[in-house]
Amino acid sequence: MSSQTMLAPSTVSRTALREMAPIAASVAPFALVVGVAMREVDIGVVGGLAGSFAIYGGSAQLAAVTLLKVGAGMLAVVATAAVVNARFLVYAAAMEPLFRRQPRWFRWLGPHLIVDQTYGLTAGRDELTEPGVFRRYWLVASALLCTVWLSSIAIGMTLGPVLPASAPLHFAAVAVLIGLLAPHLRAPVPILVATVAAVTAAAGAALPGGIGLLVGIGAGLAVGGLSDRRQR
Amino acid sequence: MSVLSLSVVALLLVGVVSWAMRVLPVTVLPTGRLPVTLQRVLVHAGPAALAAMVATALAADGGGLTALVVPSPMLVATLVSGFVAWRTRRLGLTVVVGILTLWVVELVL
Repeated sequence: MSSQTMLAPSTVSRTALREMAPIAASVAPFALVVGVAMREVDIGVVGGLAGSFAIYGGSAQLAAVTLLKVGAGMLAVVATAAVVNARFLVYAAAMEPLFRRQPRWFRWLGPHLIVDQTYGLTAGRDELTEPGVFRRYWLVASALLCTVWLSSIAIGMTLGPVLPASAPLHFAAVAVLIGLLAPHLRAPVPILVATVAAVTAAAGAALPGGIGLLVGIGAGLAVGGLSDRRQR
Repeated sequence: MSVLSLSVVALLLVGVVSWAMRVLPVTVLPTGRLPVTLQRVLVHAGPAALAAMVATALAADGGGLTALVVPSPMLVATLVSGFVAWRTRRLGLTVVVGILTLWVVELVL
């Protein structure tokens, strides 16, 4: 965006809030599910929220909590969640130009707020390339998302017992993963990657410590890499 | 239960690794210097990890590979919510439809 059309700070903030509001609302059910799942491991609300902010990625947190629940080792937990969050490495690499002409504190702390939703919202937006505009937009939109995310997790952790413990409700966690996965499945290679990962993970589901999950993800990545090589 | 249980330590460790993965391509390793092969492979991390997690949940009751093919209430709910997610991209709707489907199928069977 050219300097003469630079947005006023209040306009940037309002735009960020307006655009993030529906997205933040859509992650609330997922956060409740994560909160309820957190109840099943040895964790208090304060520690749970600190961990949630540190990870700041629902699927990785759900994977970590799921593995902790079945008594997996620390290495398996960290490795699995790291692989699940590895896509943020790619998002960060893609967003690097937006963080380039920023203050040092923002370059070190701002990228922590990269998630599927914030990446998706800012990718390819020409009007956000001015450093001050991007910084304000990023912080305001992320503040809203983070507030809804953490408070919903807290509600899930606190009110878990009053929610009926039924199989259908338990399925909500899986449904969220399905909801995040499905939009990827619009091209042959991601479909192949997902299929191989799913089949391998299911075949190895009986293995201890979430190894089946790791092997499944590894198989998916390997097939994806081979497919890329073939296409080139 | 103490605030600093083993689980909290594990989550914080995951957090440190996650923070590093988000920050390094911005601060330490300029984007272009990441090996192209690695960048390409990491693109597949999303579908691979999510699909593996869904399959693990389906096979959690010990079904193994059969959990993905033998009809069960969970598999029906997975396919129905998957279709809804694929068509609408709406996370909230996907969750509601998935829960309702599982509830109805379990009621009927």
